Amino acid sequence: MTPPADTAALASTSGAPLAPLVAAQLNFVLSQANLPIRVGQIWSGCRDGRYADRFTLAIPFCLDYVYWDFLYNALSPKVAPDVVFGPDDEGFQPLVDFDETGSGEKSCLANWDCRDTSALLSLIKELREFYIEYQKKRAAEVDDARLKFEISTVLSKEGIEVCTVSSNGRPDEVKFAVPLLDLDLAKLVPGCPWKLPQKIHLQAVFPISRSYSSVPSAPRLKLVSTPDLKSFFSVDDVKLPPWLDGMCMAEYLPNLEENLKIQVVEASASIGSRRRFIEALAPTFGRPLEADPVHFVIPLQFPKHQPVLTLESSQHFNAQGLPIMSAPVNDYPWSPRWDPTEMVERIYDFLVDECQTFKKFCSDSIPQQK
Amino acid sequence: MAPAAAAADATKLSVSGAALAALLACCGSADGDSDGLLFGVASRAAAAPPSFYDDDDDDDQARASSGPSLSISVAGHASVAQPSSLADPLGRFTRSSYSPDPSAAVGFFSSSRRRSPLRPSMREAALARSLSKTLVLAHPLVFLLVAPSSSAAGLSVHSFDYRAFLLVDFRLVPSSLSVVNAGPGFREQYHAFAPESPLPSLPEQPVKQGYSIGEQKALDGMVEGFGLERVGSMVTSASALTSEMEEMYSGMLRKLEGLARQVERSNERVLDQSITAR
Repeated sequence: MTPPADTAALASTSGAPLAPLVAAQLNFVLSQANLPIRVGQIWSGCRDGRYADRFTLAIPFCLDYVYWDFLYNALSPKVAPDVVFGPDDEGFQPLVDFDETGSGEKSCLANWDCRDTSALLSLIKELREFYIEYQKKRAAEVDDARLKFEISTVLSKEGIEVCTVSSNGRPDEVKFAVPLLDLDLAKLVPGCPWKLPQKIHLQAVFPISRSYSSVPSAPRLKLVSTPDLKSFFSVDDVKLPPWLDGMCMAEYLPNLEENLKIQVVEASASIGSRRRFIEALAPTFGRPLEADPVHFVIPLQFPKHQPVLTLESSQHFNAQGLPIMSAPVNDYPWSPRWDPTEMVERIYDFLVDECQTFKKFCSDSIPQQK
Repeated sequence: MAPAAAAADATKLSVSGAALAALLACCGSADGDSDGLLFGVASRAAAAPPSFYDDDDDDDQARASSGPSLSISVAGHASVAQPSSLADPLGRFTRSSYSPDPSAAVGFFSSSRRRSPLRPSMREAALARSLSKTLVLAHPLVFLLVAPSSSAAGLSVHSFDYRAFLLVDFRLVPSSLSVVNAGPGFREQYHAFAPESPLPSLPEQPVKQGYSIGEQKALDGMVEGFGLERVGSMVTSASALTSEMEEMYSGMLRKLEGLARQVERSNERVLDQSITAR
């Protein structure tokens, strides 16, 4: 998922400015929504094209986006916008449902106030809630006993989203996006700069089986995290527990969550130990060491994984005129149980010897170039 | 094939070239979005003639299930050239004071400049259902979605994209729309045409002093005592139609007769004068 578009760049394809009341509502969405909503095309519905008044929004859903066109009317700015949904969602008709259930008066469309800048955001939230329910209903209609069981057991989990994936107009997969860990990750990282709430989801894609006899195949499982989280914890490094034959998600999730929780707590502890390590580096490495710079790459799994060191020569240059660099070194003596000062001293001792090897390597490589 | 699509296929939807041109011109000249009602005739054609060949059983079944085919012909539209004049924000049909009587409508149209391939919006889908409930039609409701060219293309060239839908089982199903033009290629259509369109209801009787004295005189002279109320009631109450019409015609004939006599007499007098002058 990519971060929201720059709000300053709201210009239509024809260059016409957005009608003021519409622009105010759209800017509110882009600045206040706690979902990464993006703006696509912006265009005008007027004959003279003076004001742009309609746009496509990419709205996050089920670890992907749905693209909806919002049609305002610059000539009648008081009229509530109309929405065109995606080509596969002709069955999604929230207004028809309002009519059937008689709940239309509760909708923000019933009392549309064009001067309320939060009106569009309320509409998006309302429609997105209905869309999640609509997709759940569609998934529940799929004729597959295993999926029916999965849906009946996990669909009540808060924040879960599900959708059917069709090819050639026929649903052949059901995709679940299950939010994991009921933790406020921002609290684990003191002083974090994240604007949007961060979350880890399990994406599980179940193939729809058409035959009743065969053993259902395992779902495709993948962890997905919100983008800001990557600097703190990489879900790609998490080894997923194996999916056993005949397993269901309700069995799989507690195990996974427990596993993940330990790793997330470790990751937050790692922030502290990385900081202490960097602080400990200063007194020792503050002294010049043969005047050559050393580069430290500290992994997210620090201190379990040791920092990767790279030496850079300040006297020897290669054919391109760039300083000669050593190969990354990560096989020096190391123990995650040492305290930061000891870690730094051991690295220093190692480097004193390594410098000589590196110097020799540099001098050897130069005559070869000539 | 889905049953809804089959039902839509069994319906033949057509529009006269002139009516479509007028509709597109109306949509294209509107400053922004517009919508309105579509009028026309729906008729159920007789069952397809029996086949002379020994067709497969499948084919016979298909024919039997499709039943008598329905043809809906759009003949005109009415629009107040305003966006969402037909529906409230929740897509419920609302009749504004100046909109025409919807009881003779076969459907509605909506025109807006869009970017995506033509699909009904959430409000149009709701309006289709709401309108079909109001109209209580014996045939599927017709919805015509029109997208005039965007302003960026320049005002000298207009292009229109349109797509027709039929409301079958509460879903808008895309339908083909055949345009009927004048000319030998379309002779068949005109031969099959029967002028059975209901008369549109006349506006409510305006208050009496709506006419100036001069206008009233002219009217009275024309209809010989048949006031607008009487003509109006004639048109609305079909039962009394024939006798009232005959009475009006005989009144007109009496007046013509009188005029003819007058002309005859004056001619005779002129003739007498010219004879005596000799």
